[in-house]
Amino acid sequence: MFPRRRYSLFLWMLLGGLALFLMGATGWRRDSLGFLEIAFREGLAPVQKVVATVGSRAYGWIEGLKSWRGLQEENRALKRELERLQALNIQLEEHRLENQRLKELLHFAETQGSDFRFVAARVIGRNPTNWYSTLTLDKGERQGIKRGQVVITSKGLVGRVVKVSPNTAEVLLITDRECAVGGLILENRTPGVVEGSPEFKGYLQMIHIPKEAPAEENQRVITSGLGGVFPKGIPIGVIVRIVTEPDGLMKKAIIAPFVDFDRLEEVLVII
Amino acid sequence: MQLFLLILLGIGVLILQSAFPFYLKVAGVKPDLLTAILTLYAFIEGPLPGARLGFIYGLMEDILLGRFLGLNTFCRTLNSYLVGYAGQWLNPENPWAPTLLAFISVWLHYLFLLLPGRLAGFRYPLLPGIVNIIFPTALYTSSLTLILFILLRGGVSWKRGRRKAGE
Repeated sequence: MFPRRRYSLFLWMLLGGLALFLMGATGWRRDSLGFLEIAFREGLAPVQKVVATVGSRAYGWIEGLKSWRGLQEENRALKRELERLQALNIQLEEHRLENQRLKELLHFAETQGSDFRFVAARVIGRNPTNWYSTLTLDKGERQGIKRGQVVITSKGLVGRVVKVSPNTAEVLLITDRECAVGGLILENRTPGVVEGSPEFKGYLQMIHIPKEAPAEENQRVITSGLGGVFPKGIPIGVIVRIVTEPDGLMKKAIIAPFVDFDRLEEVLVII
Repeated sequence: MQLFLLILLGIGVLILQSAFPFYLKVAGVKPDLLTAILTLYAFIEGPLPGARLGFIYGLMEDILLGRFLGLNTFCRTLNSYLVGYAGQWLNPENPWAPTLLAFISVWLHYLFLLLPGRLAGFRYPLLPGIVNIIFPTALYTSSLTLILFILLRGGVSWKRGRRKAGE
């Protein structure tokens, strides 16, 4: 009926018109998908998911392999940086604590300034034996330190200088048996001699207190100024125990010193 | 060379004991590390080398302490000689031998400081000295000597093993 060429042209026109119709009918303004579209999408979705996951992981692995060396280098650099920052942090913490201690010493020196002149010194060594209690300071004769001068901290009495070299000084601590200090109980003015306790290591003892004297636990002991070596009023420690002496006529007070001698780092020398 | 290294070790020990005594303290006492080293050395090398090192360490200690110069020199020389002498009669492989010798050595040294040391002006009450210082220090030092001896013996046998493997 139709020649073959005209038939073909007609078919193309029909297909084109159908396509235009479908395009118009499935434009952006359409609210829902058709059945076929839904079925196709739903059927394809799991496959897409797997492919996408595998692809993504493979990409990650390939990228990881490509940047492995770089990451290793970066990791090493970060570790080095972390170590440096940790060391710096410790150093800063150390400086902060030192600053705090020095501020306390400075405040103490300022409040006592009208009475005494001080030289601040750092503790650089301690006696290596168990028999003596001494400290070595990093200041000596050149900085004006002399034998017999008194050493204190903001917390209380430390001891006295017994040996001096041009740049160091040895301090005999009040906990040493050889160091005797004239003491006074702050609350009731009872006097006595304070020395290192051989029975209670690290503690002091105030000896020759009359049995009737009102010495009790938790009372504070200060220097009495008697003897002329230690100025009056420097805190020594607090009484933790009262012990009757063997003769029964006297008693002694065991004193916990205010100063922690094991952790002393800076001191003041009264010059 | 060996003596030079031992002197350096002695100086290192004295610095360690004076710089970080707080960390070394157990029951309020520091160990006598010089006695531990001297005991081991005298036990292994014999009385005369022991006495020689004892003299050097004692002198170093006296110079550092700056008081009663000669007291520690004398004590350490005599002590090391006696340890070396006694060591000849004991089993050199038994780790308890130097441990016991270190324990006795601390007692001898410190009792000498407490008793004849009084003539030189060293005054410390006897009973508190024994209870609070001598006994705990002897116990602490001898324990360290035992550990050091075991480590030393382990090191020597490891070295021998390596030598044999090399051969």
